[in-house]
Amino acid sequence: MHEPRESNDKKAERKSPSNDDLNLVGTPFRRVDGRAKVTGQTRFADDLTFPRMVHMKLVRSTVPHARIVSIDTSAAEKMPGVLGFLTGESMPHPFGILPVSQDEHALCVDKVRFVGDPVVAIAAITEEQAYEASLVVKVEYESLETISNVEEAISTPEPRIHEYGDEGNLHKKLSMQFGDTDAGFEEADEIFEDVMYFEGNTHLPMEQHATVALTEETDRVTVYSSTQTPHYLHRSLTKVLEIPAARIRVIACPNGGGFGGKSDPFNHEICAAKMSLKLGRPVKISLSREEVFYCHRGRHPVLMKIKTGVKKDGTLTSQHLQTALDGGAYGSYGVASTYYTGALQTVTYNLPKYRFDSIRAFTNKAPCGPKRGHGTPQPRFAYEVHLDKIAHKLGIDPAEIRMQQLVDPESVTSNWLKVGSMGLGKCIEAVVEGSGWKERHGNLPDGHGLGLACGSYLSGAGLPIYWNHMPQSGVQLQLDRSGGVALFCGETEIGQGSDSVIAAITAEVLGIDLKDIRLCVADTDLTPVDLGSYSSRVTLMAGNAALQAAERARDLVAKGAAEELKVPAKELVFAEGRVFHGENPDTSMSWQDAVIAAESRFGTLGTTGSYVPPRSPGRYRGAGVGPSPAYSYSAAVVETRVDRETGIYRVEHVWMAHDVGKCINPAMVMGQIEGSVYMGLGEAMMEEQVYRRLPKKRSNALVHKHPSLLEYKSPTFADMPPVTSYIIEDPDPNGPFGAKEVGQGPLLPMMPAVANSIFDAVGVRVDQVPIAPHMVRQAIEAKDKGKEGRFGPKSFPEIDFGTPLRVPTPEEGGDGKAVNIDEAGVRDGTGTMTERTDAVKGGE
Amino acid sequence: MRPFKVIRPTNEKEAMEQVSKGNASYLAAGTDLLNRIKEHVASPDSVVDLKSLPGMNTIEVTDQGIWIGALVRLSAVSSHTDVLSRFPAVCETIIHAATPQIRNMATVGGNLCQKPRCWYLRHEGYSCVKNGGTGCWARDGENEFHGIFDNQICSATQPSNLAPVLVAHEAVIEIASKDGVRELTADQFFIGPSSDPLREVSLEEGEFVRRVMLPESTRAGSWAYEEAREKQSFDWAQASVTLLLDRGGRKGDHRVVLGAVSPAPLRRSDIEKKIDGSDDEIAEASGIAGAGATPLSENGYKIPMLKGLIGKAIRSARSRKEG
Amino acid sequence: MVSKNKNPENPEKDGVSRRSFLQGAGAAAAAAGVARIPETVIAGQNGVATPEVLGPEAESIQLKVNGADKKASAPPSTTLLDFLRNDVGVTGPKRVCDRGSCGACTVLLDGQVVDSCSMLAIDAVGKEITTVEGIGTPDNLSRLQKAFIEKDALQCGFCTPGMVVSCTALLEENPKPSRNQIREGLSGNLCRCGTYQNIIEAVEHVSRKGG
Repeated sequence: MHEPRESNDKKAERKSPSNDDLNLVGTPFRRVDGRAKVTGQTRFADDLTFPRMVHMKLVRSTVPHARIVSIDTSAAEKMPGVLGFLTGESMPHPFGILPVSQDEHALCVDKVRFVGDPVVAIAAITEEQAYEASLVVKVEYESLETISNVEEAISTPEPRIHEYGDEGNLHKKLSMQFGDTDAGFEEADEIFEDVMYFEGNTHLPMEQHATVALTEETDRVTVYSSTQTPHYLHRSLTKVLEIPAARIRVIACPNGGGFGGKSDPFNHEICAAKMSLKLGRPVKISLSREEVFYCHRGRHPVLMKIKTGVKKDGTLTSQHLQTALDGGAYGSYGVASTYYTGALQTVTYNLPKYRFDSIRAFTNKAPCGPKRGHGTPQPRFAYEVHLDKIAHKLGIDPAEIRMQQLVDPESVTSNWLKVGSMGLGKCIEAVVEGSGWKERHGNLPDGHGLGLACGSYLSGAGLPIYWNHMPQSGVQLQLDRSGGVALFCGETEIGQGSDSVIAAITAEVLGIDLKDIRLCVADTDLTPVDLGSYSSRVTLMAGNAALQAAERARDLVAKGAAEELKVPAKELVFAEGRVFHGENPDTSMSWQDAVIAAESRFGTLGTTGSYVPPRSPGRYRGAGVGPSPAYSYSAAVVETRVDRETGIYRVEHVWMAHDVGKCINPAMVMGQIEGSVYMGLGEAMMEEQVYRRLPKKRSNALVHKHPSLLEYKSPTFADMPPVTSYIIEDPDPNGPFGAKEVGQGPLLPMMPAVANSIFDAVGVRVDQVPIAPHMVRQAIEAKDKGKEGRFGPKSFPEIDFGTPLRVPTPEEGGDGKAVNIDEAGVRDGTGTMTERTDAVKGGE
Repeated sequence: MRPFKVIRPTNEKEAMEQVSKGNASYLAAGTDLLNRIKEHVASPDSVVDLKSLPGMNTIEVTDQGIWIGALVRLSAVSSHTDVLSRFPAVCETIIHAATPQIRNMATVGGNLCQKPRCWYLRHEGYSCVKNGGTGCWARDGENEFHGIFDNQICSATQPSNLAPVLVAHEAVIEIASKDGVRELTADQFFIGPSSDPLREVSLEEGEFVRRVMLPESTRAGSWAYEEAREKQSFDWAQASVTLLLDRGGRKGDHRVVLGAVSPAPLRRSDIEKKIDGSDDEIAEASGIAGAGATPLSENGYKIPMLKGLIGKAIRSARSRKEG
Repeated sequence: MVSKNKNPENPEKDGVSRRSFLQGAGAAAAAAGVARIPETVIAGQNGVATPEVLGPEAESIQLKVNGADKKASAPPSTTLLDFLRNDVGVTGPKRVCDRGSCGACTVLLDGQVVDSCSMLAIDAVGKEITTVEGIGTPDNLSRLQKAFIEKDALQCGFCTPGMVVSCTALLEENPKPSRNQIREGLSGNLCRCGTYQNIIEAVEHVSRKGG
């Protein structure tokens, strides 16, 4: 018996237990995968072995930009243990995570675009044999000019790295204006302008990417992979392998960390599948640590120019933000990243007029993509440091200047983002109180300072990556007469606790023990689609789907129990593994008996639940990036000591408050807060994905400077300061039990808070990230010499953005649409509706 | 790793014979060698395992000093009560090195003989003066962690954290050689590129370190070891200062040895002379930290860093008394 | 073959020649061939011919892992980590950096923490090797493992095996460590999920309860 699928727009239908009534949700229950992980039993992708399994290695480009002239595998073919090769010719269909930038090939066909771009795949009996063979594959390249940064991409339109893109080597160029920003600047008493730079960095998950592919019969293939997005991988495999999706099975193994680095479909995954089909044997590939740096898809380096008009009381009147992203060699999520570097500027403080211009350049380096925060940490850094400077200049306390103009809950921003619950005020209050901000900021002795910053992040992107009308997340429940419940969901556990969240929500509603839930997740053959563990969507979206499925299951079981107990179904309470009459608890039966009662009456029991985010009010090109069912908010105060002579600084304490809506599990929420603080600290202090450019008289080869865990710096136990975390609960009507995200938000305030604390300590600004001691020192030296006490980028390149897309704001009576589409020359890039629908059918 | 033979000699003569046959390297714990093999900057066909040799695995306290076998693990040295009480600077430098795991594995000999960390040297695609070619990539390239002294021929720095402390203590390095055993003092053992760019230590073909002796006569009640690092663990120093005052009870017999700023540990007798117990000794001593430095494009920060470390070291040493 | 760039002043044309990205794969040799003379390197045996020569082909290697004898054929150049994971199926220790720079491969060797990726398997002969699997099992967790769960000292779980081993060794040596001693003792284990604070609390929890 199947229930009709209901739209999630009808909120009134949902009957969540009230938050006062919860037994499991909101308690620090033990995560469901803990036991297996602490005993080393969890099977990560590289732990898998299968009979007759062989190993694969990829031969990667040693030049940054070149045409492939020839590939000669003859010497490699003779090497011991070698079983097969693949080249790009065998997989001509391009793929890519975004429909608008399907610019990758499983193996390069005619061109390589960065050092590390894969060209040949080799399979051999052992990993070592595959590796030895890879050394003797001869690839002949004809080098093309290397484009190593945004400036070069702008000034070098030819040779084009890709044959598509808005112009030359600019992948994307956009300009959007909400409200009359010039008038807004006229209104201002003072205008501030800053140029800031955020260096690229990478995810550095503990687990390298690993994939095992195996075939069942000749035209079915199963791919086990350390991926955050099995569904998107599934679609790419279908496209490239030209095998019907129903015959491809993708199983995402628990990820040993993802952070966004495993959200793209990857060359190695597709090659493993193809090789497995070719050889008829299981094929495993585990990337080396160095390869992971080249796989990358990490944080874009972004240069930013921010100009803000304020009244003398600190009220913001207008902002013009320009960002230039260095995208690396492929699209990845880059178009979305580009929009994200502007989209969320309006959800924290009232910004009535806002203009955002951006470019993303292709360069011959590892492709950038989504890393925790996805395009928002960079502009948030610029904004929060910029605001700190404004506050300082106007003589207003940095906490106050924010408090006085927080965005209202249940409001729509100037760029048409619908904000629901908004707990930033409480977050600021918590860290101000906890750190002794009022007494200490500006008053500590030289070399000792406090810095404050805030941030906000989405609880899931409002739109899926490919256009469709289907749910973003689905859950299926099977109720067994043993009392056990099997929960099927496409979500992927990457350490953020998603397995535990959906299990707990289900257990809460059904009133059963967490241990009685059997999870079956992330298997495209068995589980309903969940789009993946990215953009902090899982708690809200899969959680809501689980909630719906569980409520339907509960209602079904209630009907059966009601008949047995002879009481009205809606008076039944489900808790502690029993179903009992609320008014008279002695009238009860066990959950198991209730299931049997229902199964006897209604047949085999199963329910589904799904989630589609509410539609956002924005209707302009680009409005698809930014909307979310709910925004989380965070505020941080960081305490730092700086040694004036060397510029060496140490973060001594972090206070972080995060508005999570509702904790499904406060221990896990704390874990995400602390983990975000940790990663933010790394980014602020030491992480950088940078390249070594060989001298011009040589080949211009661009190689990664630090492709190892030793050289790419990441904070250790000894570097980590104590963290005081505050969980603020301001339930959001769109979240399951009011829950919002926590996996990414708390990272955002860290970098600017560190920069602001250094200013409070020694009176100088470092307007770039990471902040190295020599930058602090140079800024101090400059100040001592009477110059500006600042280290940072000098200017933003002159770029002609043309006419911006003008979108009247809600305040101006707009309707969410742009008024000058033709004038703005909105470029082709995303297809029309018809094209998009066709694309969905074609698996693109 | 490409497979190699493992040869286990039972005596020193055999070891030296085996290592001279074909393409062979000595193996102690392997914490450095195995990494270099994995990075393809070393590719021996066989390794000669020194761990099977007798007599190099103990710490012996004598009247002369403390003899530490080259195969003794770093953690065993830093936890040895006599080393701790008599040569605390040695322990201090060890406990900051690498990680607990590495310290349990790495040997004293291996620590002294490890190859520099220069990223050009450790990249198989680069040839330079240190590995049979010419020139120094870092000088005009990226040199953030490279040396600021004596960096004209090669700007890599001596990575061993023990090296500066041994130079400060005038430790004796006992070497197994073809003609038996020979000794060098630490400052003779660690050499710079002007002596021989291909080596960082004065070992002839086939020689290896047997033991290290910390002389009783150079004990110092007032001492300090200060270093600065990007990360507080898993990292090498960007700069370090080893300071011993009034060694052996001899007033004014100080040693200031800088680490991680030059190809061999750098003794600074000029700074030593400034440490005279006067009120402005810190300012005077740290003020000349950069004297003679020839910083490159990215490592000038090491000069103020050294200034700060020298100041810190003097303050720290002055506050200590012999335990 | 590797062709080196000759020198900075006289460059070669072809870019970073032979820069291979397949480094650090570790030698995972299956029994591609048996040793020409099957010398078994077994704990406790001595009196082997002088000088003993092993490899480069596979030799029979026997180690004592978590109290049990584990034997397989592998080249002597195999690291302890690869031998454990690939040759005798002990997949608890993880291969993350393969360079001794993260601690995910930490095992105990006669009770001391070591990075198994940075030593040869044959150098572990005759010693007691303890991996996370030897510290506790799902239905027989050690006190420390229980504390990890209680204090939510894990997220993705990939650093966890190494952490559990290092914490166990730390508490064994120092049942009542101070916070700083915990930090120092665990400074060789990296975690990217940032679980440090909770791991410290898990260790303190065990130490409070009597170590």
